[in-house]
Amino acid sequence: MKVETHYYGMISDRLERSSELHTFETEGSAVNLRDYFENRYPELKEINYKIAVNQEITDMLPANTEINEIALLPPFAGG
Amino acid sequence: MLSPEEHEIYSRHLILEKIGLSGQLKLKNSSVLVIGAGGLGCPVLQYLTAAGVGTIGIADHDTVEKSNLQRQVLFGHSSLGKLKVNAAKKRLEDLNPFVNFKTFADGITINNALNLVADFDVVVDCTDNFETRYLINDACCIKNKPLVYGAIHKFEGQVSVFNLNNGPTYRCLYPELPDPKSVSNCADAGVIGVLPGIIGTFQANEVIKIITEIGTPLNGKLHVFNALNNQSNSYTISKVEHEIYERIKTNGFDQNDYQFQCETPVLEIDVEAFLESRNSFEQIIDVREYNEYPIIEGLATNVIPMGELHVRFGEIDPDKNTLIFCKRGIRSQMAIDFLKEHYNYKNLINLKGGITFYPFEQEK
Repeated sequence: MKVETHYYGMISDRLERSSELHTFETEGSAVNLRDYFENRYPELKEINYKIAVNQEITDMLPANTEINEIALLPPFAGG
Repeated sequence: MLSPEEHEIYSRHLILEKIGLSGQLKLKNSSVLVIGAGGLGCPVLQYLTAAGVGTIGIADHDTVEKSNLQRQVLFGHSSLGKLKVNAAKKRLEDLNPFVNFKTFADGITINNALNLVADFDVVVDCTDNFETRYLINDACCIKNKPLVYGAIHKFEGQVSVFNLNNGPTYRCLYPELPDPKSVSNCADAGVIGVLPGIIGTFQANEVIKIITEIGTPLNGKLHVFNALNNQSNSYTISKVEHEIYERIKTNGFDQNDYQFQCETPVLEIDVEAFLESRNSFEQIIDVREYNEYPIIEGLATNVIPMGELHVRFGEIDPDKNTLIFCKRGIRSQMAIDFLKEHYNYKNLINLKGGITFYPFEQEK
């Protein structure tokens, strides 16, 4: 399953992209997205952020569920 | 009741079915505290004033700088150097003379936070740093005040409503201040000027919805907007209990909970390190009395004795790297603590051991 992933704020700055497609196999088992993204992009380990799956905040990609969007959401300070 | 002139001013609200006279009276009888009169605060203040919110509090300790004018549209060149709270009040009183303004030139601190938010119905976070955002959130939770949050980064903005009807708080989204390594540096990353206008207007809209009890506020939702591709998304935040609120209720605020530095802070240096890095200091402040020796010609850029600091602190530019010294490094540390606590100075470094250890032959 390919899922559009949105990167915001300084995550987008660090990864130098605002979105990309990721492929997940979720048949029968859930995927820990924090582990997945931090293995792929170790620089994320230094960043404070939340993960949203289908607009709900969670670290887990549920098994056997259609997923439309993942987002990585760091806090913003500016005002 | 509204006066005939108010009827005329608010006529476009009064003919709106969802607002009408009852909604306009709710606005008139409400009070809103806007913390931060910067990029976000300007549109929030303008729209809430124009909308006829009865009492508006403005909390900000800053003065207007030229670099503000690109996005802080409440101010003009005639405001440069003036306290933002005063410049804003003057402009806003002209916009709507039926609004009562209260200004707080100290901004929000751990000492005034609870009393400040207690006096208002709704609080709007328009600040620009994490420490203050957490302090505002915690004060609102303890005083049970709805908090309308907005924050921006370059071309992106976030909006939410926290603590409304026992809903999620900022800590439910981001429980703790970010790790210092989470943020590359404290310097402003830059922002497109219209973005705080957009996000601040979202915030003003949320305030009006909460007061007039119309629509669906962003309670428990983080709304994110990207100005480059016009994408908007709302993410659901779940309520999580946090022990810190009970701790604050019992023990009061602890400064340690609100200390965040983007980089490992260098708080003091000794004379040797100072001599090696002297050119990096744009200001060198001597806080000794005028008659104290040794006098080293050309070292200090300004002499502000401790006793005068509370009235002359404005002579110290908060944006410059600053060394503060005294005879033994004790008064200068007190001066730094005073400036940080009361006026939010950040770039202050103490001369460890004081000027006593200065090698005078260097000046010959």
